Formats: sequence, C-alpha cells, structure tokens
Amino acid sequence: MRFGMFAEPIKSNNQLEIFYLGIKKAENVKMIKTDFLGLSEGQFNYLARDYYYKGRTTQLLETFWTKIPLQKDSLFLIKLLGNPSDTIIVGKYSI
Amino acid sequence: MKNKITSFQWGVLFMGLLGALVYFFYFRSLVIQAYENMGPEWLNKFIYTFYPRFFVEKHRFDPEFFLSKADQMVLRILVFLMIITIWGQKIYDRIFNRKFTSEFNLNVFRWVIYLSASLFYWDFLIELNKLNQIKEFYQPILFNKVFMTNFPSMNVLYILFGLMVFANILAFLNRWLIVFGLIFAFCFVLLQGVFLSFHKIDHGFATYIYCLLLFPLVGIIKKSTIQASSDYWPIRLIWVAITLSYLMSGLEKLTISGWNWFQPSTLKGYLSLHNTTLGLFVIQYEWLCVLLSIGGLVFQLGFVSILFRQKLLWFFVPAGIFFHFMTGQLFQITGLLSPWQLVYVFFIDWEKAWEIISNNGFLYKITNTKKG
Repeated sequence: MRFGMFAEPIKSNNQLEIFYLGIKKAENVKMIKTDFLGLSEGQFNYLARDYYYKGRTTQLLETFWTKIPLQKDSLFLIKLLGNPSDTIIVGKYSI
Repeated sequence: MKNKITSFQWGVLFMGLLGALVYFFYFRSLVIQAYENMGPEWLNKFIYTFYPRFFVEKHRFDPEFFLSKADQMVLRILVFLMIITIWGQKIYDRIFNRKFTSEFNLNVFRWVIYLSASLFYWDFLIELNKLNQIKEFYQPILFNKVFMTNFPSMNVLYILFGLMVFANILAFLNRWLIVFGLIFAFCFVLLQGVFLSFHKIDHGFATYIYCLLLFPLVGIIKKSTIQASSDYWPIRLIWVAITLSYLMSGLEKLTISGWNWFQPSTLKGYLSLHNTTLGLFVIQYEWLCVLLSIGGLVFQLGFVSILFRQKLLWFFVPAGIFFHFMTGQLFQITGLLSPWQLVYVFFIDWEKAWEIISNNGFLYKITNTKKG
C-alpha cells in the first residue's frame, strides 16, 4: 500500500504503511479481510490511516464493532510499518 | 503582428504580483501554523475544504515539504499570469483560430464518450450499496459538501443513478445535448464524489470528467452560424484541459521531487512498493529506471505542445497510450482501458481516418501517394 503521489520524494519507511483490523475471541486472534467489511484494501487503509492520525482510532473501532456480525471479545487496529518487526497495535476496543 | 498588452492584462498581472507578495509576507507563515495546529479556525476550514488530507499527510513530511508545496503553487499561478499577460493573445490565436474538427468528428466524440460511460458506471449501484453499509465514515469532498452533506439514502442514489442513465442515453442520441450532457456530467461527478468521500481520493476520472463537463457546450453552437471549424471551441477547450493536466503533473514531479526524480532509486522505490512482475523486472536495470523516469516526464511536460503543433499528435497520442499502459502494468493501478486513454478520442481526426479507409483502402492510398 503506497500513500501519496508520484510527485512526492520517496521515503519508503513512511509510505509503506499497512493497517489491519484484528479480532480476538477467547485466545484466538485473527485478521479480518477488508472485503468482509465491504471495502477494498485501499479504501480501508486510507480510512484507518485518517482515523489513526487524527486520534480517532477508538471511534473507528467502535463503528466496526457494530458492523462485524461475529462473536468477539475485542477489536484491534494493527499497523505494519516497513517490515513485520515494526508491527504495532495502535488501537483496541471492547465492550 | 505586434503583441499589444492591454491595461486590463497589466492590471491582472499587478494583482497577481500583489497577491504573491501578500502570500510571502503573511500567508506563508500560516502554513507552519497550520502544521503545528496553531492556525486560526478559518485556515483550518480552508485547508479542510481544499486539501483535507493535509491533516493526515503532515505526519509523513516535515513542514518544509508543505512550505515548498505552497510556494510552488503561488509561483505557478504567477508564472501562468505572466505568460497569459505577455503572450495571451498569441497563445489564444494559435490554439483557437485554426482548423481542428468537423461535424463528423463531433458525432464520433459523442458516441465514444457517452457509450463508454456505461463501462465506467455499470457497477456504481453495487459499490454504493457496499458503501451504504459503512456510511458512518462518509466525509464529503468539494462538490458533495454542497449537494450531499450526509450520505444519501439508497432511494436518492437510485433516482440519481436512473437520472444519470436517462441523461446519458439522450446525450448519446444528441437530444438537447447542452441540457442532458450537463445533467449526465453533474450526476456522474456527484456519484464519483460519493466514492471519493471515504478518504481515498484519486484522479482516475480527472480528464474524462473535464470532457464530460465541456463537451455538452458543443450544444450551444448554432450550426447556421458556423463559418469555420474553429467555431467548435469546446473541443479545443477539452484539448487545453487534457494537456494542462499532463503539464501540471509533470511540473508537480519536477518542482517537488526535483533532481531526485531522475535518480534510479526513486522509480525503484515506487516499483518495489507495488511489487508487480514487470516492475520487479525493471528494478534490476538502473538505466531502464532512469530512462522510464525521463521518458514519463518528457511526455507529461511535452504533451501541451500539440496545442501549437498539431503534427506532434502522431508522436504524443501513441506515446500517451503507451504511457498509461505501462503505468497500469508497472503499478497495477488501472485496467486495460483507462479513462485517461479514452479521452484521446478527441485528438484523432476521425473524418480523415474514415476517408483514408473508405477511399479504396488504406494500403491503396499509401501506395498511390508514394507513386504520385
């Protein structure tokens, strides 16, 4: 997932940034495919990125909580930056 | 003929210079304030309206990046005003006062853009239904901020879609082109706006939409008053809009990336992010990366020259088709038929092509021309 335009000087560290939605039930954690949410990968990433950088991650997860008809204990927003070792959980939501 | 500059033109240039000075002494500092969330409320509203992604993108770049972006916007407007002031009349004459189309061509243009439209909108309702499921995330952009402040109900979207199809058919049939062409363009832009109001903004339909907005103006030309093909000015405006889109893209690359654009590492970086088969092949050859970077930029900056030298179409039309084809293959961002390629229909003299083909065959014509 590349953000920005071709006219921007390339900085792979901050352009290669991928967001995932994780769901936890009991001790099982799995990633949710974006098409399950009715979004393409690109749409979801722009959406997640917007909410993340504007400090509204909880609001994003809260909305998805009502949209995902699966049994769950909590929802996570996960950010992958550059390589797998840079994976961090940037948001968590549960009732 | 001497190019006389009127007092009005001088006035426009003066206002432009004054505006640039005001920017450099006052508004420039506001860019930093906006970056640091210290700007006045009106500034935030202004940025939110015209550059909503600023509040996200600022996390990727330092303030200097946005300063240089704002500077070059002001400089570009200033240079544009200077060119218009000094050479405006000459440019106008070169662009508009010449033969460039015919009634036959207009029919072909109309058939192609209104027939192909259905290829682009056939799945709109499917996609809109999906977006309806996540309408909480709707954040309208530009046009939609006025006409669709909230995500509309599906019934409204069905009506809008129906109106679009209806107007599309009538525009295709050349019935009240000015009315139905514009209704079609309006509905198409509005529905596209809904898709782009979920934070992911792209320019896939940019030039196609310019054509949709400008082409119906052909409908206000009174055929009885046409004395020369130059009276088909809306088509020439379409040429201007398309070529300027390329020119601006090229200038954007040059002014923001500068010499870095020509470094093999730049294209290699983009290609590695997109990870396509062809892209991974190209990455192996630095000379090829440099060649493609130069080629792309020369094409984008040079396309505007067709406004002044029509013969260059023989180079730029195939080059443009190749450019978009390669962009699709290298970055996997468009399908086989891109709307950017489709608008090239306006650059082809279909009447001449038809004459050549129908006049005993293309090969026969070439053979006889050579003999003659």
